[in-house]
Amino acid sequence: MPSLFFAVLSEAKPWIQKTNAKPVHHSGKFRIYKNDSIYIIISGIGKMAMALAVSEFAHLLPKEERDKMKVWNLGIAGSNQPNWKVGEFFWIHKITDFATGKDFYPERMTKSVFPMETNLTTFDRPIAKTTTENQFQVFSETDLQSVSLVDMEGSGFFEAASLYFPLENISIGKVISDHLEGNFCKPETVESIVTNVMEPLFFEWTHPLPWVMEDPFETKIWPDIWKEVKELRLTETMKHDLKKSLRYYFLRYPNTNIPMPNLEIVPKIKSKSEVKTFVEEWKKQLHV
Amino acid sequence: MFKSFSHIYIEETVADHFRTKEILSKFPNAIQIPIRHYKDSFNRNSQNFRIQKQSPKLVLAEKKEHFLYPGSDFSPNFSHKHFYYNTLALNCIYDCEYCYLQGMFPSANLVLFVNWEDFFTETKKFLDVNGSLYLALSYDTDLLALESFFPATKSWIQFASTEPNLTLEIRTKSTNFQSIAHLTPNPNIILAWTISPQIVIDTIEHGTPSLQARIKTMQKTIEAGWKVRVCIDPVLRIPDWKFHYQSLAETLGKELNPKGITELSVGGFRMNLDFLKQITDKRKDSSILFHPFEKKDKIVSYSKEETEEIINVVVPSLEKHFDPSQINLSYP
Ligand code: SF4
Repeated sequence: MPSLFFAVLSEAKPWIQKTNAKPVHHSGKFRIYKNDSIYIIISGIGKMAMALAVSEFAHLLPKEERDKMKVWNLGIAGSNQPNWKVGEFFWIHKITDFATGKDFYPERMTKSVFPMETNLTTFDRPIAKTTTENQFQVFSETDLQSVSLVDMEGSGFFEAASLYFPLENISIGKVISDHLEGNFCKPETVESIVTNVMEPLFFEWTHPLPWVMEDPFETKIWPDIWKEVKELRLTETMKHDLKKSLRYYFLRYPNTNIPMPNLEIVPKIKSKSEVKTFVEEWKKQLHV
Repeated sequence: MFKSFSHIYIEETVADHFRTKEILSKFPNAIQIPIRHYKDSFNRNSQNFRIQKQSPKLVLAEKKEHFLYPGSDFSPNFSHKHFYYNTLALNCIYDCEYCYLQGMFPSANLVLFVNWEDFFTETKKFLDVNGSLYLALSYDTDLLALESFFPATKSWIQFASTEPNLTLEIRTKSTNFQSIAHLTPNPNIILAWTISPQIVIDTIEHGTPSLQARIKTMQKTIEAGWKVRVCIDPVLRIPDWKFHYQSLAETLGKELNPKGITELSVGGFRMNLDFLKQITDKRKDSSILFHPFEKKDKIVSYSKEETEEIINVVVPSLEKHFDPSQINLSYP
């Protein structure tokens, strides 16, 4: 199941409507929406809020689920590039946290219909190139020389997500909402900007991760065998070694049934040495 | 042949390096990402080597220290007093299931160090102090396979021609000999090819050249007057392995001029236990890695009996065609 993080409701709203996701009732602080096949999370503004939202969400899921989950942050960003238009979408391959100077590198693993990529700088406050009544932090052209896109959540999202999710599963994409003129975007404008790029992104987001494949040994063969021999009360090491030997046989002779010992005697095996002999004999059959 | 790289990370200090520019010119469509230090990307936590291997990225960097490492216990030292290796590149464009790099590096991305001149200087210093050096050049990579965009092998061969006390071993599976064919053969340089039965190449050494192509390349290299070492290493106990390795020995005997071979080295699979753990965690589809290995001093290998059997099968098969003095066991 993929998950998608937004900072504010206006960014998330078109996605919530499209997916018909409903709020999840849980004891946490952040808003989580869900349907049968997706999660949408709204963190609130700022990198700290975003990092906490990622962490809270991650704790609701078992690791096995997180390992298979696509985890994205989408949202609007200001652009320092005058030639880039409002509404253009970029994938992010480098994030700089302005306050700490730390760099992060989300790695692009899959192809997208949106070919453009750039770097993102996450600031702690809204920033602008000129002074306005909104009291944004003002930076000069020289200060912003290496800056391409600007937001307030990216570094928090990536730093937190990389603690809980495999790096390859994490993506950040931003759509340009302004050119740092120092004005807040109206929610309707944000909604419309987000809606314009949603369809192709929705397809890519819901497409399963190409590298998450079922391992029939793990999901079927081993659980079935384990059910039969659980009573033996193997030590963790014995269990691990037996599983390895079974996998060895399974991989080496994919078209042959895995040799099984006489399972009828399992309930009669009591002593540790009997268990050991039973397992060793079985492993011998597997190591041919 | 090499895959094109979708992204190239470039350390800021080498952004203007002429070699960086040369490499970048070979990949005009790659997205360039400036980076402070290659480790910021390469050493990140929770990367998955297997996933990255499907779309590896290039990293251009500067090596700042450790221009020579003492040779590892897993590699034969060929009786040299000063057996060292260097790392001009980290990772490989091929994808062999038994490759220890999968367990050693956190990332599958390919790091290329562009400041070769610093490697040369340090190597020269070592030679001045110690008098001789046996240097394995293609250690954590397959250098010749990168030659079309990272022509380090050529430069090192040229460097070695000015350093008579330097012996180089360049180990490869690549058939890219033509890129160095114009150079004068040097008796202090050993070009070593790792070869395997075709079935191993097809099913385990993903992306590598065929056995025939490797043999043809070796033959050309011999004819050009170079020293050639043939490494049947690792020997893998795949189903019907005896048949496959005996046939390999037959093919080598028929198709290579035995006089041209400096040495044949034979060794069974072995690996650092921690690396194997790392690899089997991510690569759960490779039967050779799940073999019930023997563990000793943090090394996993085939059991003593299995190793003896390998030697007893492979060595006599080779002895039918090659002089026993040419055959060496690379392990134990
Ligand atoms: S050719 Fe060598 S370095 Fe490259 S993947 Fe194979 S074993 Fe590893």
